[in-house]
Amino acid sequence: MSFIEVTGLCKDYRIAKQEKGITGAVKSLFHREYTVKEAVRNVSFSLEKGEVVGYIGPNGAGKSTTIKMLSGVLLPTSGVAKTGDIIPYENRKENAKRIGVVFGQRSQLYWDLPISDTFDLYESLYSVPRERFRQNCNFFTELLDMGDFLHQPVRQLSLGQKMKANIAIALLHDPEVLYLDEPTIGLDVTSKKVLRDALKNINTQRNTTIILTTHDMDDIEAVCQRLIMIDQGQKLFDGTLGDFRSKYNDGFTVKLEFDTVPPPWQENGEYELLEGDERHWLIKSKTEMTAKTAMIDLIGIYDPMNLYVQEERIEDIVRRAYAVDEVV
Amino acid sequence: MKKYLTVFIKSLKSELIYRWAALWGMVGAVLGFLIQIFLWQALLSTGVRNDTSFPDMLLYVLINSFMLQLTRTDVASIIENTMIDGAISMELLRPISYKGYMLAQTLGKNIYGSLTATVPLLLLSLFFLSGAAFPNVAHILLFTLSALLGIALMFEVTYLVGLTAFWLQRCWFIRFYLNGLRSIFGGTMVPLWFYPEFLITLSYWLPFRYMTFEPINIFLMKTPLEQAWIPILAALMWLVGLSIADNLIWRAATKKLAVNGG
Repeated sequence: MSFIEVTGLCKDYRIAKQEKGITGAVKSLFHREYTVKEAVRNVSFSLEKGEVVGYIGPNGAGKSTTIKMLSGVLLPTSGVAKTGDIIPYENRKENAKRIGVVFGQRSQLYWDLPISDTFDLYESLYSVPRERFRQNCNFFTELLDMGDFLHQPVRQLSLGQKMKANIAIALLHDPEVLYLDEPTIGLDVTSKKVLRDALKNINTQRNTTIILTTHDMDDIEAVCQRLIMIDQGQKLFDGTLGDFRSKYNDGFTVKLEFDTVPPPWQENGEYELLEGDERHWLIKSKTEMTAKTAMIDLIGIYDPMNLYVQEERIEDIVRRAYAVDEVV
Repeated sequence: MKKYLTVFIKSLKSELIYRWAALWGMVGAVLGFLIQIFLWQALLSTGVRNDTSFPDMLLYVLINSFMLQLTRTDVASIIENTMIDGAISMELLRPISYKGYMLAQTLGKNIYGSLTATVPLLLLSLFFLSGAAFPNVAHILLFTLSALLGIALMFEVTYLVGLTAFWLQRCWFIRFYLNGLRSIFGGTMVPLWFYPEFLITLSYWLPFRYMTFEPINIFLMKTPLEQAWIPILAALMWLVGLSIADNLIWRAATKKLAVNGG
């Protein structure tokens, strides 16, 4: 049996309909119609210990709802989630001891007190042995570079500093699993890098299983080995990053750069002009061909000054995957 | 147990941060104290109760302020707010009983509040208190027990009201009623001694009088020692009943829970 086992997980929400304007509001006082939104529909997956999985999907896809069921906050409408041998939502407190959770949009810190006070709280909440706690405090303070602001009141910290602190407290009790729901939201490039490195480090050094939801595909590329994509509550893809590329990727793009006005574009069955202005063209091959053939071909026809071959970025693939899904 | 102690201490510490709030809290307490004294003087001058002297009255007002501070709780509005913005999910991620966590937090606040509010009043009235009927040791012990039950009872009731937010999202109107009922049947504004008979009878069937009124009666030795067990037992029974209700409702509430936003 796998470490985390999710089988046929569903969660429905009841949503009250409200018509526009004041009349709509008054009407809804007397009569209310509800629609059922299926936030998560029959999602199944299993994870081994030490895996790092990116859980992606467009806004409202059901990512956070899944995480909340896995962390024991929400009860599924049907289906089962299991971490270790615990059913999280039936055994909330027991499960809480073994997991660490960060919701990027929320803070677990005492607003008026320094981070070190929240650290103390978590030490006693999780009954972490004193020595281990000290080690972890030092380790994460160093890893996330928090030494400068450990003793400032939280209300005077920046978003990124708070995020780092939230991640640190989620890890102080050596959790077996770490759930991160958009941990890089609102962070600058440097902070993101620090965070990604830290996550990789935690995973390799401590064999912590990590499930990460994000809209930043660079997060995924930097830390995840595996990707699960959901949309409208349903699982669409589950596999390695490489598999994802080969499933949704259709090749490479070629960028041509001209020093003079380029020759006219010749429409044919082999290439497609994606973008073009006076000096630059972005071209995609329509057929299966190697980059080498395409390069020789395009140089022969258009004689550009420069030519770059680009592998499609994971972000573009995801964008297309979401779009394809919407059409269906 | 240690975790609840830590929650308590941190809550107390959070309160200590704002010096101006503390200062103005004290000023407010002094003003409230004066209002109560004037009210009492007016009541006493009607001659309804000529067995009460000024020092006795002062002692009543003091212990009443202290008990009101101790039984203050905003747990219902805290639960309501965490429901509104969805922060409830963060609270549920902690390996701690939600109720215990809330109680420890409330106590931290109240200990601070009652000390800052009562100490200045005590200093202020120290000179006028000679001659007041101070309780003996037995009464003080019984008062302590009764007061602790009162604090727990107030918390239980308010917590129960807060839990309705899991269904209703907003529960301020229930809180509003709760406060009203407590003022009337708990004797927090006007002591129940002055009430008509039927209201007094009714008050025995409700939990509110056991929150502050009965502990105060014990403190002022209006309740004889041999009768003190009655309000204490009544409070205890309410407490047990409400805890059972809380537990059942909490279980249903966590099943019902829908987290707002993100």
